[in-house]
Amino acid sequence: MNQPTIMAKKINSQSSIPASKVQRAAKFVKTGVKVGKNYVKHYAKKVVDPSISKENLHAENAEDIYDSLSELKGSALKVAQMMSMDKNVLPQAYSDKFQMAQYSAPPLSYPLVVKTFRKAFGKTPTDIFETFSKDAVNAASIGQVHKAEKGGKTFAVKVQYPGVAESVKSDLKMVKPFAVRIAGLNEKDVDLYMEEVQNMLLSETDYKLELNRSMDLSEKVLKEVKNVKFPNYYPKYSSDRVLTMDWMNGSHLGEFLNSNPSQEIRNQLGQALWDFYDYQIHVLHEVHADPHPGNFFMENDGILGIIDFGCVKVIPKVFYDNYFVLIDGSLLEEKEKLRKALFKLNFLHVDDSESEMDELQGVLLKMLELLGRPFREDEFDFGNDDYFQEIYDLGEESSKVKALRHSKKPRGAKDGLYLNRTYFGLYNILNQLKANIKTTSPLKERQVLA
Amino acid sequence: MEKFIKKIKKNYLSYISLHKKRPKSVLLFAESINMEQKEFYQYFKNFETIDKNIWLDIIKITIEKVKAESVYPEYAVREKILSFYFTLIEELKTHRAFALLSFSDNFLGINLSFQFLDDFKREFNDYAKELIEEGQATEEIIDRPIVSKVYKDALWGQTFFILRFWINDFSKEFEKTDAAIEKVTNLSFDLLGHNPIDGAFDFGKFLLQNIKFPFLSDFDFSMKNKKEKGGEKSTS
Repeated sequence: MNQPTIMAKKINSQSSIPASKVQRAAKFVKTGVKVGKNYVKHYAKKVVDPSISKENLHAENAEDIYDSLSELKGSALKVAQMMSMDKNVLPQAYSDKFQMAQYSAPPLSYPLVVKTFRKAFGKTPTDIFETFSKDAVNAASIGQVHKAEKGGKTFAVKVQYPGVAESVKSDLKMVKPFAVRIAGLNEKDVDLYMEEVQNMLLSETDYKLELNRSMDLSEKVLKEVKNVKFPNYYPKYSSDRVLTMDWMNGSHLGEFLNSNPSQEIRNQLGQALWDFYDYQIHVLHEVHADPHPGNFFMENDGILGIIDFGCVKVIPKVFYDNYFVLIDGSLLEEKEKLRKALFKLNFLHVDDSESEMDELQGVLLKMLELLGRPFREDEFDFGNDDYFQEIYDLGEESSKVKALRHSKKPRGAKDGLYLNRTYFGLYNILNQLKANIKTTSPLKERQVLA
Repeated sequence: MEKFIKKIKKNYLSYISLHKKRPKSVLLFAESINMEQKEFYQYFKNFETIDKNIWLDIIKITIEKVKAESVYPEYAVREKILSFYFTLIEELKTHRAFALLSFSDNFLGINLSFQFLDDFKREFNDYAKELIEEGQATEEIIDRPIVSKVYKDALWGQTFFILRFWINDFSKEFEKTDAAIEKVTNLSFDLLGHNPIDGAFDFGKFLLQNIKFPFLSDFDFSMKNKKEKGGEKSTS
C-alpha cells in the first residue's frame, strides 16, 4: 500500500553520500529533488482529478531517474540494475524503464518450490513444516519468502529463483555495451565497476554464504551493539537455494512512522542503526551493504530487527584508510594531503590537467565538509531538513561542474561503490526517523588519544 | 515374462549409459545378458521398440509419482502440469545418456519423426485430456469454439519443447530447464485462460454484427446476388 513512500525513500536514499564519488552523489541528489517535485505535482493534479493513477507518476519519475543515470558514469549502471532488481521496492514503471539491466522473475510456482525442497532436503515443505504458505508472502530481490510454522514457532523461508546466478552474469554482459555508450567511459573502466557488482551480486545468490555470514555477523554485532536483534538462522532447513530464519515481527519504516513514535524511541532506533553500521565498518571491516527499509523491522519499544546479510561488503584495509581519512576535518585545510588521498581513491588521475584537478577538488571539498559533518560533531540531528536541503543544493551546483560532466574517466574506487550505497541508505533512514544521533567515528578516538 | 522385459530394459539402459551408444547387434546384446536371441525377439522386435517402451515407462512413472503427491489434489491445473514437468525432468535425469541418444539419432537426420516418443505421446495425450477437462470444468481453461480442439496438441508441443530444451541444457542441475518450464507453462496457461484476445474477439464479433461498414454491406449484397442468380439458374 505504501509502496510509493518506500520507493521515495529508496530514491532519496541515494542522495546522502559521504566523500569520494561526489559527482555521482550530486546526480542522485538532483534526481531526488526532481522526484520530490514529481510527487508534489502528482498530488496537486490529484486534488483536481482524483482519477489520475500512480502509474503516471511512476512513469514520470522513472523518466527523470533514467535521464540522470544516463549522464552518470560506471556505477550508475550498477545502481540502475540494483534498483530494477529490487522489485519489491520499485513500482512497475521503474522496472519497465530499467528492463535492460534487469533480471525479471514472476513468482515461483509452488511445484518448483517443492522441487527445490526435494533437491535440498529430500522432503517437501509440508513434510518439514506443519504449515507452509503455498504462495509467497513477499518477494526478495532474487527469491521469494514463504511463511512456515512448526512447533509453535513461525519461520520465514526464502527460496531462490532458478538460474539467478547465471542470469546475473549474462545480464551484466548485456548492460555493458549500454554502460559504455551512455556513460562515455571506455570498456576497461566499466569493467572495473562491473567486476565489483558482479562479485557482489553473485555472492548474494549463495544462500549458504549468506547463512554463515548472517550467523557470524549477528553474533558479533549482538555482543557490542545495544537495541538490535536478529532472527535465528536454521542451517538444517537451509541450502544453497533455501534459507530459513525466524519470522520477524515489527513494522517497516513507513508503517512505523505512521504510528507516531516518540522522539525518544526514534532516537533509540536511529542510534541502534548508527551503532550497527559504525561497529561493522570500523571494527569488523565487513558491512551489511543493503540498507533499504525492507531489511529493518522497528518495534514500538525501540528495538531494531535486522535481516538480510546477502550483500556484505568486505572493506579492504588500504581502501579503508584512504576513504576515512577524508572525514578528518583537518584534512580539509591541507590541500596537498587531500590531493594525495584523492589520487589513492582513484578520484583524481595523473593525466588530469591542473585546472581540472583544482575544479574537482573544489567541489569535493565542499561535499566532504558537508557530508562528513555528522562525523565531526558529537551529536547530530538527522531530522534537520535544512542540512539535507544543503546537500541537495550542492548536488545541483556540482552537477554543473564541467570537469565532472565531461570526464571520460571513472572517478572513485570500486570499493567505494557499496560503501557509498550503505551511507546513502543510512543517512536517509536517519532523516526519515528524524533521529538525533550521538555520532561516533574512529577519528574522534584518535584525536582523543593524540 | 515381465521379469525378462525388465531385465532387457535394465541391461540395455546400463549399456547405453556406459558406452553412450546402442549395442552393436541384438545377437551380441542377448549374449551379453545370457539370453537366446530368439528369446529377445519374443519380447522386442528391435532396439527401437525398447526405446519406445522405455520412454513410455518414464512418463507412466512420472504421472504415477505426480498423482501420488499429497498436495496434488489441491493443485490448480497449471500447478499440476508444472509438477508433471518437474517430475518428468527428475525421472529423465537418471536416464540422461539414453535420452541424449534418442534425440541425437533424430537430430542427425536418421529419423526425424521422433518415433521413439510415439507411446510416450499417446500416454501424455490421455493425461492432457484429463487435465484440460478438469481445467474447463473449473474455468481455468476457457472452452473456445474450434480452438479447444487443438489445446491438447498445443500442450504436446510445449512438452516437446521442454524435452528438447532439456536435451540442450548444460546448466548446473538443469536450472535453466526449470526456468523454461515455469515460463512456457505460465505463458500457455495465460493463453488458455481468460485473456485479452477473448475480449478482442468478442468486441470484433460485436462490431461485425452491429455496425454496418459500407464495404461489408456491399460484400453481403453481392453474395446475396450471386446466390439469387444461382437460384434462378437452377429453377429455370
